[in-house]
Amino acid sequence: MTNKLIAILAGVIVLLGIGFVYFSESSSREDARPTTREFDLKVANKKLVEGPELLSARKGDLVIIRATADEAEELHLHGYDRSVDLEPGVEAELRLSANATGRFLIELEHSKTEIAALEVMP
Amino acid sequence: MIRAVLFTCAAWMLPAQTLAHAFGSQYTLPLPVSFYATGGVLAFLISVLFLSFLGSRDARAPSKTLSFSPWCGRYLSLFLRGFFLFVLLLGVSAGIFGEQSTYGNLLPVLFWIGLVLAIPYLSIIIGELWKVANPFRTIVSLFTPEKTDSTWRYGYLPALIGYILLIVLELFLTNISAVPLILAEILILYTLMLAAGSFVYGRATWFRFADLFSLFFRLASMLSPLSLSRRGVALRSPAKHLALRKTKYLTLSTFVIFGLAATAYDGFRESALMAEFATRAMPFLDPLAFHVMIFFLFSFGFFALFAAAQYSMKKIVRGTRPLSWYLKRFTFSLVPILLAYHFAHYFPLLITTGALAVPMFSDPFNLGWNLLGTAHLDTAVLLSAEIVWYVQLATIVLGHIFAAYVAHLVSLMEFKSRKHAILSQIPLTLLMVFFTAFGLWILGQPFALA
Repeated sequence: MTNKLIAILAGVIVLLGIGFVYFSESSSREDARPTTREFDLKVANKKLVEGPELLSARKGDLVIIRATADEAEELHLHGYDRSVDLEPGVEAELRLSANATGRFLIELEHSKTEIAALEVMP
Repeated sequence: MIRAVLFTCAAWMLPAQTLAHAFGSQYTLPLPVSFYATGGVLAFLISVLFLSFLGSRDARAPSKTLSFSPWCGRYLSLFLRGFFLFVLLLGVSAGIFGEQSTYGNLLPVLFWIGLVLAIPYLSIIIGELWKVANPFRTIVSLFTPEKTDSTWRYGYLPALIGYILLIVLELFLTNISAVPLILAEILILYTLMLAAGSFVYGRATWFRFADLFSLFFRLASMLSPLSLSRRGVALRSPAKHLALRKTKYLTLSTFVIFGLAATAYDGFRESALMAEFATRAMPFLDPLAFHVMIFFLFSFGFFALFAAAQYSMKKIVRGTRPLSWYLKRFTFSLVPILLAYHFAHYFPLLITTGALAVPMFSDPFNLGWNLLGTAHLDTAVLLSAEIVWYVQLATIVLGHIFAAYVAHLVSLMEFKSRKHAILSQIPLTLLMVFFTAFGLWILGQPFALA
């Protein structure tokens, strides 16, 4: 078998593989429609004491994060670069449209403490 | 001066962090199962295809050259050297005199993104760029001789030690690795080390064997179809050139394997699985000690696997050469996997964090300047997770194909019988499939929270 034919065959195999991945991922997302995802976080002593460490959403979802803390802080969502001030005992809300996919850390900005992560899937 | 010394001492005394990365934020998602399973299968199928049918014993490596006119080559070389020297001096100055914050100062971006990521990837495209433009060499050439020490007998040990120290700085000393003043001091000390060694052993020898950046970028440039020099640009077959390259230094094999292991470790250390292991080990081992132990396990483990594969190869062909010959001869076949691992893991960082440099060049000393009109540019870049996944999959699979092809060429060149050449590759091919699948599996691991 000539080297050129082998190279073509290798290329076809790679394209078939990537095609398989593309279509299998696309079909698994067919029924996913935008929805509203709501998460409640409670912070005490600079730690997450209630609520999920991992917030999951899909692209296009409306994400609502409600947070309370026992001291003044700033809740910062990296990547989207959105923030909300936290006052002791007062619930604050962060709303965003999950337009960008990826994994975005949620941090208490003053104390530089990462408390959770938002994962937006395609 | 006193403030700088006190600042440095205070920074070094801060406790090391094990989970944070040196610099930059990656917003990538774990690779889905379908991606890494497909990648592993593709790697295996293509390896079988190559083993069964591919073959050419032609040891020639033709190339076509587009020659520069003498003045063009000279001025291009001068321009590149001048530009890179300017960027180095600007970065070091910014590190010393600019704002001492990780994301507010130009130097951390230039060092961790520009030098450690962008230059090797540019070298893959245009080859030998660093050889022409190395700013450290430009400085050192002012007062050291361009001689070669023919009695040099340490191989690439100094570069290997430098590489280990760089990885330790990146992964274990994260409290200081992005401090601008510390980075400036490191670059100054590095330049002095290069000057001192060049003075003793000659610039040609010292930069070849002791400058870890020259070595790493030279390895990256071997993947390029272009070879850049003052005389012109040559078009070549990178696979053929890699297959023809030989080394007499086991330290080079160690350097390549260490690079693979360090990149794999860097990916694995951020996973939820690693966090679970560290938690379980806590009654017995301090988290930092545990991470260091896993780091060494990766390093020695990867080398042991390579040695085992080459030992099997030697047994299959009933070779009379020492094991070290088999390790050295096939070292260059692992270079594509090393760079594929590296690119797949770090390219999102190059794009999302590298963009920060654009506004910083307009105001390198944080004085409110706007020299290039980009100081207020919003450079927030978020890559689509899907694009990242496809690039990672394609990179690692293509890296495997390239590596398998190079190993195949080397076998055909070295082993007289075609049957021996094919059989000899089975252990190394299996190892390459393992490296490929393992690299993809690491990319697919769920992340731990820091």
